[in-house]
Amino acid sequence: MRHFDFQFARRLMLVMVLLATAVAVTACGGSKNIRNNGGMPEAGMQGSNGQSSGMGQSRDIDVRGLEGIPKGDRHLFTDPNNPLSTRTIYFSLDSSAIPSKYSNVIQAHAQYLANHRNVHLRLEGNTDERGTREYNVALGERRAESVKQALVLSGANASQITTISYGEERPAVLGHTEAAYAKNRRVDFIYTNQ
Amino acid sequence: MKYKNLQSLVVGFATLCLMAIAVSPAQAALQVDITKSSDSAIPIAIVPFGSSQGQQMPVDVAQIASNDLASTGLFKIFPRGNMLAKPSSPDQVNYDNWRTQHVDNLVVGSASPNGQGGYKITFNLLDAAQGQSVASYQLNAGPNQLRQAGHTIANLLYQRFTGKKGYFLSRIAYVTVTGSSADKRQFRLVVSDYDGSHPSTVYSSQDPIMSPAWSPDGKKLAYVAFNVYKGVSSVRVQDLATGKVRTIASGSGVNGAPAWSPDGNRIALTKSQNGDSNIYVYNLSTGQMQQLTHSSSIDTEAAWSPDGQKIAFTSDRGGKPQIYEMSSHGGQVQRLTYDGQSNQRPDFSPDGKLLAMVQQSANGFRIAVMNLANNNVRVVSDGPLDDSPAFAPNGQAILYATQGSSNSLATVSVDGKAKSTLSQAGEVREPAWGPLGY
Amino acid sequence: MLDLLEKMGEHWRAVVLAVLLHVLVAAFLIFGIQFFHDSASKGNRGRSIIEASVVQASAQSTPASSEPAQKQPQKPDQQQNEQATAEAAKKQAEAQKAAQQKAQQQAAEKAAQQKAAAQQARQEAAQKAAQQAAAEKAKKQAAEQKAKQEAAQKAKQQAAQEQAEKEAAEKAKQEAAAEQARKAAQAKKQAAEKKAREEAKAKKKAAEQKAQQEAEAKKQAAEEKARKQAEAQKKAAAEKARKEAEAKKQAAEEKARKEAEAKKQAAEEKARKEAEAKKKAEAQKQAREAAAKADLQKALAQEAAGRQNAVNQKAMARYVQAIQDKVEGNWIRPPGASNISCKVKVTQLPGGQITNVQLLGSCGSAAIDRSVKQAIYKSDPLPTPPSDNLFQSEIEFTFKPDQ
Repeated sequence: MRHFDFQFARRLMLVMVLLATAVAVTACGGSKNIRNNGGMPEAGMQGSNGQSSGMGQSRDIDVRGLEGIPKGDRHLFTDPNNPLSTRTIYFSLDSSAIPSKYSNVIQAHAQYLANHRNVHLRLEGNTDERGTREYNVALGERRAESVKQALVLSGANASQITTISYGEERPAVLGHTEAAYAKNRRVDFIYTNQ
Repeated sequence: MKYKNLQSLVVGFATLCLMAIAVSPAQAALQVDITKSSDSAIPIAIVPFGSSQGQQMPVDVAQIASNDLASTGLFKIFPRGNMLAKPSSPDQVNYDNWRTQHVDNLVVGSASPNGQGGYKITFNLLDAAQGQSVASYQLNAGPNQLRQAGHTIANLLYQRFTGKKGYFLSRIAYVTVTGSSADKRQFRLVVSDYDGSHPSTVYSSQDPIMSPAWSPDGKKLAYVAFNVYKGVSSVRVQDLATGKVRTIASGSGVNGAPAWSPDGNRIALTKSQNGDSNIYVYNLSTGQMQQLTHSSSIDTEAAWSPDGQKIAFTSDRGGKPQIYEMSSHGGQVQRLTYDGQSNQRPDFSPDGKLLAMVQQSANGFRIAVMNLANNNVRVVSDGPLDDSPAFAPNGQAILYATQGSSNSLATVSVDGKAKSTLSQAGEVREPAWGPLGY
Repeated sequence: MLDLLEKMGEHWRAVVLAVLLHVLVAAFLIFGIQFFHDSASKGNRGRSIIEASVVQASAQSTPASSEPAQKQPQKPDQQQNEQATAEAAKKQAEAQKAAQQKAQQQAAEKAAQQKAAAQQARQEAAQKAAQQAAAEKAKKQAAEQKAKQEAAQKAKQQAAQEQAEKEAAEKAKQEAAAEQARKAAQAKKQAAEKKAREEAKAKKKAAEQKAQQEAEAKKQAAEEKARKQAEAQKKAAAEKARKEAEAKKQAAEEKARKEAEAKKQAAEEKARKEAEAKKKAEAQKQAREAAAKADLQKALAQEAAGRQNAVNQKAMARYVQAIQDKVEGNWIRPPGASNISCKVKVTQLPGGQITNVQLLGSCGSAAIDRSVKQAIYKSDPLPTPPSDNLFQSEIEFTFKPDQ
């Protein structure tokens, strides 16, 4: 119950924030920065697009990783209200266990994959820079595989999903801080044409 | 009866002797025990080599040799600016001048054209303390081999002073990353002289390049290349002379951590299946892939023992990553490391007696050296994010990468005493040290 | 003494030298013993030397027996001599042992012989006695029989005589009856008969008496004879038994005497040995005391005359330390060089100028050798001693760094 309450509260907050963002975006003429930012989606959180008004957070609408989604469905993945819009899962240090807060995200993506058997998903595992590079590649692969298993258990077909690990080679955030590390221990969802 | 006599005789004599010693200094040699040595580097001056026609040589071989010796941390090079004279043969040397400047060792030499476009180089090692030449050398350099000649001089001197072969003609490979913004990053696989000079790019990509590994003959490099667009990785073998590439493992999941067998016929590497990374051996002549480990944990970073009998590797089968060892045909797995929080990425010394690794402790990730005979571990680097230890081909130094404030390469002597940094523009990582080169 | 030890601790170099000299002296002594021993084995010296060589011989016997004699071709004479001495000693010992054994055996044999002789004598005596007793019995029997026979014959003869007389008397009676008057004849005859009867009676009585007397005498004589014989026999047996007992007694006495003698000898030997040991201990004690005394004297000498000496030793220690510090400071060990151990002989002039550097064997590698040599040359000139009498032209360096 507590878990549910927490999630509910969190979702409420998210909705409010995203609502505000939507309002802001609309207010600014709906300009979209569709340029992918080199596999660093979180960098967008810094507000690299200076055109956003000062009244709220701005978020680039990133189509990277949505190439394999029919154009008509892409809004599902950009709608902050939709759990499909969460396309990165963050992990604890040295762990490949999916935090429970992502259960609805897993559920949503699994459902979408189940409903679109021709859609293909690539899971890209990543780690922070601590530890050796090849070990981190293996660790990132384990994270990607762990997400894949969760999706398959929730209805996706294993043949729809491939995995790859970049280890620490493609950090989302540069820097040697704990905060940067937290952003780099992740699995990115990439819907590909293939 | 006789025994008694003997005893009293001995006692009497001993007494006599003791008295004799106590009264006057013994006539035998004075005994002095030397139990310590100075930690200082070996002072040496390499005087610029003279040339017969008074014309400047195109390459300053004395400077190259000086830099080589200095890079080891074992030598203290006497600055040219402080030299009172620049003799080029032993008969021109005023030993007193060098002695007063505490230059114990002096190298003087000269080069003259050999008539084939190259040079004949002669030089002497002089002991300033003894005031005499202790060794003389002569070498022939081809038209474009003066740089190698400089390294060769350093090798000869290094061996003279340490008893070990010098590595100044060996080459290293490493990966550089340039471009500060994430979308403009450029990865390069580079081969250079052992000291980072004369780099040449072997392979370049916007996608990550990892884990270069030298073939034992120094002619090929194995490495990992990613294709981010396709989301795949591959292990490639590239001939350095021809540039020809052969892909030996590729696809989704892990294809990484190549390591050449000492005989050069096989490459150990890591592949994953269902998220489990295991070690395989790829036979370069048959093209067959043999799986060596079958664990559901991470097994990676294989390293061959110099005799080819064993493979050390990183595994988290016990929880935290530690280094294990197995037969190079698989099986007989045993854990090697117990120190620190975790241990990763083993590398055998050329004599097979030491194992370098990355050790994680409260002080971060540092390079450690384990004596395989007694399992004693010595940390030789400072951290906090050191990676990719690689033994020098003579086993006397370890090359490794540092991350953090600067991403560069450094060498440290196996005893951890002498450290030096290889300067190289941009971010440098994953060094691999090639064979001796001569 | 403690003071001395302290001083020795301070001047440990001197102690090292002392120990070295001890070793030298010990070596000299050992060679000296060898020398004495050689001459001992060649010549004919006293018993103690033979004992010593025996000890040595037994000590040598193991290698000598297990290895061929030509193992030491440089010293064949000595070895032969030693062996000969050893063998002679061994033989002597064996002979002594054999003689002892023989004596013991002889004594035992003698005792046994004596014992056997006594037994034989005993047996002989008993036999003789038995024979004599048998003979006596037989004689007695024979005598009795004879006497009986004789008596029987006599009686027969008498009876025959009586008959004859009877016949004669009858004849006479018949004649008298026939020829003259019967009455007269008869009376006569009666008287004659009576007379004859009486005479026969008397005669018979006399004969009987005589035979009885004779038999009695005879019997008495035989009895006397038997008695005498038995007595003689008894006497002989007794004599023999006496003699036997005497022999036995003598043997026992001899044995006891001998045992006592042996015991006495052993006791004496023991006493002698004890005395010797005591003497030895005493001598050792004396030697120790002498040594202690010498130590004390030395200490006193050091303390008294050697105030200056102590100063010298301190100065010497400082001097050695100065040399050590300089060379150590100048020695740059090749990296990774381990298990370094070597000696270097250096000769110097009084000013510390090095005139020669000689490595007494390699230090482990050419690079280490070079570093060691250079360390010494770099230390030229070596520190000079605070006083000239401490100077030594030769210095032996031992390079043995802690790993």
